[in-house]
Amino acid sequence: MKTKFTMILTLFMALIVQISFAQQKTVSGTVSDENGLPLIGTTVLVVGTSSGTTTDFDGKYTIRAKTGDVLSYSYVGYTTQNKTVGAASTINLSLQSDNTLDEVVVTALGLEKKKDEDLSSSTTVNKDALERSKESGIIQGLAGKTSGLKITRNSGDPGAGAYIQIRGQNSLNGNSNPLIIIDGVPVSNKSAGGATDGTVGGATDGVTQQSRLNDLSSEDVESVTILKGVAAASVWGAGAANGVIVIKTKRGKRNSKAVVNIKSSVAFDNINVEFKKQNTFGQGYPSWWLDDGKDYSSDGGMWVANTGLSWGDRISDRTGGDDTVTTGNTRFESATGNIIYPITSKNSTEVFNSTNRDQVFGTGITIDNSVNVAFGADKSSTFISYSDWRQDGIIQGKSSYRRQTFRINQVTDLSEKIKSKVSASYSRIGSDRIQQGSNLQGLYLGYLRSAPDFDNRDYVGTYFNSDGFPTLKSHRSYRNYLGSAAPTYNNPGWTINEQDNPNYVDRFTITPQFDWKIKENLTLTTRYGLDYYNDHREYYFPVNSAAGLGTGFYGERDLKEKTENFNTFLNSSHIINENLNLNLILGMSIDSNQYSILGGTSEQFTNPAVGDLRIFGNATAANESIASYKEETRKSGGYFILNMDAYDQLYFEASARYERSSTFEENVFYPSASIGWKFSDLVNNDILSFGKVRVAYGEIGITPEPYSTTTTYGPGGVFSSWGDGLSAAAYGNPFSRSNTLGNPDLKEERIKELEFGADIRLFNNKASLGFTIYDKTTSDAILNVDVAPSSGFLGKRANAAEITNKGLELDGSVNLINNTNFTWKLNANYSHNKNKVTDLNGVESVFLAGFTGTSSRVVEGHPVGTLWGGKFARDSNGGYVLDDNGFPTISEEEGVLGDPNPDWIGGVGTVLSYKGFTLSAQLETSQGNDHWAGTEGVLKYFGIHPETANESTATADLKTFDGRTISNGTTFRGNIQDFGGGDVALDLEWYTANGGGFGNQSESFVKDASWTRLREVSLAYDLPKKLIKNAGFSSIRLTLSGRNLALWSKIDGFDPDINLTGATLGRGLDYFTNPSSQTYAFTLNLTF
Amino acid sequence: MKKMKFNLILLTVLSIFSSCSDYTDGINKSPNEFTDAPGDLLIGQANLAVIKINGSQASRISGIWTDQFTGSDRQYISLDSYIVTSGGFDDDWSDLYTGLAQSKLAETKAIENDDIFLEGVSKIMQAILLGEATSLWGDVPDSEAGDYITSPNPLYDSQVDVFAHVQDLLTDAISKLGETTVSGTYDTGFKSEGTWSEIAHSLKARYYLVAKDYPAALSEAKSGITLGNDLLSIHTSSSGSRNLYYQFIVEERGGYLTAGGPSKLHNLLSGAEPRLLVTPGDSKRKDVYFDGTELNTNVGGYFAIDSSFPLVSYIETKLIEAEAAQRANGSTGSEGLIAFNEARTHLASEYSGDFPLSTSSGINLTNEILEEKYISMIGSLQVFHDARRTNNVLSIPVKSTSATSIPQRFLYPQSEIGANKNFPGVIGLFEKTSINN
Repeated sequence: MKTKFTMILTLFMALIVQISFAQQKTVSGTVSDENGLPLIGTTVLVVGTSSGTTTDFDGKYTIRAKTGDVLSYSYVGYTTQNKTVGAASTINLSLQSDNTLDEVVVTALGLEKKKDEDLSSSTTVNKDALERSKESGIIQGLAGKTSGLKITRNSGDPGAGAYIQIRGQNSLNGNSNPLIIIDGVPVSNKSAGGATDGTVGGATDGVTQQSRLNDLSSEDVESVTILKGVAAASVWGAGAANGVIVIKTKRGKRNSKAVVNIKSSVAFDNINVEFKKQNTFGQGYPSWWLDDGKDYSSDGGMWVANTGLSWGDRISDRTGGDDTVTTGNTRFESATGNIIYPITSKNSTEVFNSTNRDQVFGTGITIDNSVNVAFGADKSSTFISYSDWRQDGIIQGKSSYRRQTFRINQVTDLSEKIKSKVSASYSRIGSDRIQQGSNLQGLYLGYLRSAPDFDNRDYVGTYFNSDGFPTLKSHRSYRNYLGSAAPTYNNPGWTINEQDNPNYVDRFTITPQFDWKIKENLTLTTRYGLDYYNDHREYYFPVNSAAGLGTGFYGERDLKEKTENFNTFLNSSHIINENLNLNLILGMSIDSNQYSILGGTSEQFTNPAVGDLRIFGNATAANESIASYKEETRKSGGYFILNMDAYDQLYFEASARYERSSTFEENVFYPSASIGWKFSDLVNNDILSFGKVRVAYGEIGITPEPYSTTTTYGPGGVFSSWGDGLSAAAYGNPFSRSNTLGNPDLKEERIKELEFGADIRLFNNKASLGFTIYDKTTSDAILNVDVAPSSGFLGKRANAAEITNKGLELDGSVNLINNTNFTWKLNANYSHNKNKVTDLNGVESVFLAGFTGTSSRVVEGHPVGTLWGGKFARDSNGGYVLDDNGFPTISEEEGVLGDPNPDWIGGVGTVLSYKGFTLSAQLETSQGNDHWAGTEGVLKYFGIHPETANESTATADLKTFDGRTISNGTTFRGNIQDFGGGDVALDLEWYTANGGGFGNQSESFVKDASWTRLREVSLAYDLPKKLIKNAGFSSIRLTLSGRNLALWSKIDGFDPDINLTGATLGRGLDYFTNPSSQTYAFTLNLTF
Repeated sequence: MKKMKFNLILLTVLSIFSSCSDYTDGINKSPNEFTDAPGDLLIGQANLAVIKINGSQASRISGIWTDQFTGSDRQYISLDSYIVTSGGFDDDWSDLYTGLAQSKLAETKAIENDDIFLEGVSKIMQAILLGEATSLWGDVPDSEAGDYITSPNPLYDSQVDVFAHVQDLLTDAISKLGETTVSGTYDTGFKSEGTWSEIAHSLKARYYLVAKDYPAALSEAKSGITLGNDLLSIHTSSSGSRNLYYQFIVEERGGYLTAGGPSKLHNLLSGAEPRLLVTPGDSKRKDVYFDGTELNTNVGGYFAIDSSFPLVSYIETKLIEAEAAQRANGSTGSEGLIAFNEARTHLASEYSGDFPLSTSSGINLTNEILEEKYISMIGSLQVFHDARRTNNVLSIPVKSTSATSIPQRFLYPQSEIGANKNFPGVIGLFEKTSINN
């Protein structure tokens, strides 16, 4: 490859055409800003020629020009000036800040560009806004701050990843994340989840993993630019189809003494939304269930030990006092010394909802310290930073996240013409995760289902059987209050203290870059990027963890990924004449990605008392397993970008990329073109300060995932969706043909987008408004199409779908007040995206994530992620089809239940400063998104949900779901409802059947989850300069801030801004997902 | 000049590409998975599919709907009153048909390699899978099943045709396998002391019986499994090979499946419901089947961690022979009684209990035989087939107040409704399959 590159370089150089000039003289001078400070890097061009230069570190330049030539001086954020060369050979001038918002966007290649000349809809969020967010991850910090971008957290766990969606879902093919470019090179943003396997996301149990983007400290970030449009992103080709996020890290300043920044912050987290639990009725069920005699003569609930249900007796009806127990050998001695004997009569009227809550939740504390130093010499600049984020989660016990990062960014002039830039970073992360979701060993499952009259605090101890034989480390929960065996569900205390799910990440990135100024107007940039990490995950379930893992389980996974990119491009500027400038970039890039997972599991521990030892081999060979996965992909491509501007008001850009990837061995071509007109120059108007309209068209693709072209064979096994099954390994490893048919005819998905937009500033640039409408179509979208199982396969990868995204984005800001002492800015954004799967090749629906009964799917004619599941049967008028008792019956076919995608999202932010005080706030909203409240449904089943503790008095003879009659005037536990056939009684028979979360319908649990929140608010105070100057500080800032302080939503019990299945295509699912949090923080910034 | 330069640039870019294909090409071969497998490994997976259809969810549903068991918790409460959706049957259907495809692949490999034994065993697996599919669902894909390349949307064959094909498969299998023993012949997951041929004859008898061809069932049963040669699934206490009922009840879904109520089967064994033929030995049998009103998952229990599960057995064969004789011979002859009493004698020795012989005749005897089969074949799909075939002559209770009979079939799965363009249409749970009409 190296020799090939040398050859290419030679070829490039051969293309450089020399143009010579006559009668020239040398002009030199200094360019400064309005304060007289040198402007380094100002472009000086001889108009009409290709001759040009830039100013040096002292703002000085030297250029050859003829008398009468016009020299153009331009610098980003300043008004361009032209000077005609006269007799003098020295031209000094100062450029005026152009009093625009001097907004700069960063292009896909990491080059800066004036937003006013940019033809894309890209938006930039700068460091101030990011630092205010108090989020550990940069991505989470972007939420609500710009249009077109939707961020959803995976859970509130420390360091948990997030889902990023730009302009709706384009593809169903694997990872939906945008491409992340840091300092010009792509980095990994894989988020691999799952409890005990290394599969990428989608699991409904396990722990919430981090996303790789969290590995970067937001303290290192200068700005984040979101390239929303296809045209802007297409230079990266496949991989950029879900949009591009370009991150620029901080750099040192040249000729500057060392500036040291120290930040120290302490933050307090609390759970922000909690499920309510009833505390009226105890653990148990009605006496008529006992022998299933259905003898309803006694219809009261009774206390029953160890049952999952809280449909028992009314707690206040008990006699009170201590429970009657049988004192004998049989007992549980807790680690805290309490002795629990078998209960013969439940007398106690105590309830434990709040102590059980306090066992689990508390205040999480984050201590975040960072220091960075920036300095520069004549020919170099350096930025060095170190940060240390230590967070203990709101879940007590083993929930934590610690991230240390180190970065050095160095720019050095190797010679007059060659400059090197090297960025290197190292992140080390250690965290403890808590099991969640549909998981008998998960936190919320055991905690929320716990009966109100059961005290969870004594969860571990010694069980003595009737002979007095002790079992150490016994596990006690409301499903086995004596701890005589592994209980059905974990006690939450066990989940958070005894189980252990640590992970450790080591990550390096290194990005060397060389800029060779071959000629004044011609630069060759060569970059290499290496991103490597090792993510080590462990899963430890001690002996006596809940059913299934009662004999102990240990798993380990090592995930490694290496992402490399080599990119080189020639950048040349040409001034054709006074009115026409041209810039051409021609480049090539090669990418390589290697990913592997190695892991194993050990279950049924031979030595149950393993203590802190986490090893394989503590089980018989049959109970040990090992698994590995390897993946390698490569891509090579060439691109060119042509930029033209005419008369300083007409802009044109065309780009093209031609590429080939290892997963699809054919060359593909992605063209794009944009045109813009700065019309404000023609309109002489005091109100309009700036106006530009723009149109862009772009195409981009997504290549098939690796290894999807062949049908594979591997060790089989059979498993039912209920969990029982036979593994191949236990039966001599018979081989099974994959249920997914390999498809050798797969080709790339192609996304075509047309966008139209305008950028306007009014009232002397005090108000600005940007809007964009777009129409995007993905054709040949690849997905796992269900095939008729009777054909012998269950699915195949196919170019089968068409998806459209149409939307509108608005960004506005206004400087309401702008005095020396008082400024007030407001900004707002609005995004509406309509996503629709317009064609699914005749397939009714495709499963994305979730459960057998309720899932997030792709359904033709509906948006990606549509919620799907069991429904009530309906007649032709849409009314329920009722059974004999007046209750709705279940439709034999499943169907669409809701749309988890919002109709629109938006944000409003404000920054107020008065003297040293700065107050800022950010509101964010998401409207029209549906969510499956799976937890709520299940809490109704168990008789925990407050609705199930209502008591109603029958106003007529009422039928129950199982056909009993509750006679007029009788008070019963439950509710009265009319499904269309007259009032019926919703009692436990209803809630434990179709009225609860284990019934055959989930439509009643799919709800409007629209929300609005106060995402962040902060008050900062900068100590007066004169006060701190003597102490040697240039700035001292104190900040009080809050995150997620208020939430308005119709959803009860959880924050709809989280998702069970993490950063996958499956959206809008809640099922015992670990909760989210709110934060109060205090920060001290010191600069000297 | 400019144009030339531009063209030159384009040319350069193109030249990079033509030479860079060797960078990208040739690495898209999975380093993780094989692209082919030998027949002996493929048949093993089909065997596991057969064990699953007989001992997992389908079997639990059959057991609940025939009131051998009770659905006591969560989704099983709904299942107990016949509240099901098409999606609930995806799993069994998929495993059944991928298992079928797997055995067809094995058959292809067998023919390639002139391995008549593998060919025979793969035909038996196909026969079991198709036989159960058509018994449970009625019309099902058969002639076009398991061959995606030529038939991506398999047509549904009539139940009569599928049963005829099942018999053909078994006839072929018998001719290929002769007296080959099960042990050592592609027996992954299975154990039996007998020959593949006697097992195939028992299967022929079974599916003739389901199809109500009693004379044929009688004659095949006579060549069927002999005492001690049951075809059983192998289960051990190691992870991944435990008894499927054990996994479900103990490890995965505690409390879902019981004999609470108690169930009809529990009542018959406990004496709460009198048996047609008084059987004191049932108290011993009850202790093997149940632990109180829970299914017995203890050591020595029918559903213990390492208990084998019968796939086709001597007792089934004898009871088929007995019933078929009763129905084929009408009131003449004593073949039915003799076969039935052989079964009873076997039970007496198996449970070391008192299983008095019958002296009944006619319809009384037939019902005694059916009741004995209902009890002896706990957890077997055959009990559900019998109940529907005999119009519920044993009066298995209808558990839903809104239903007038027990369910008459499994619902076609959502996966097939959604993806098969030749899907014939949804049929309700209480509509009989054509042979039972």
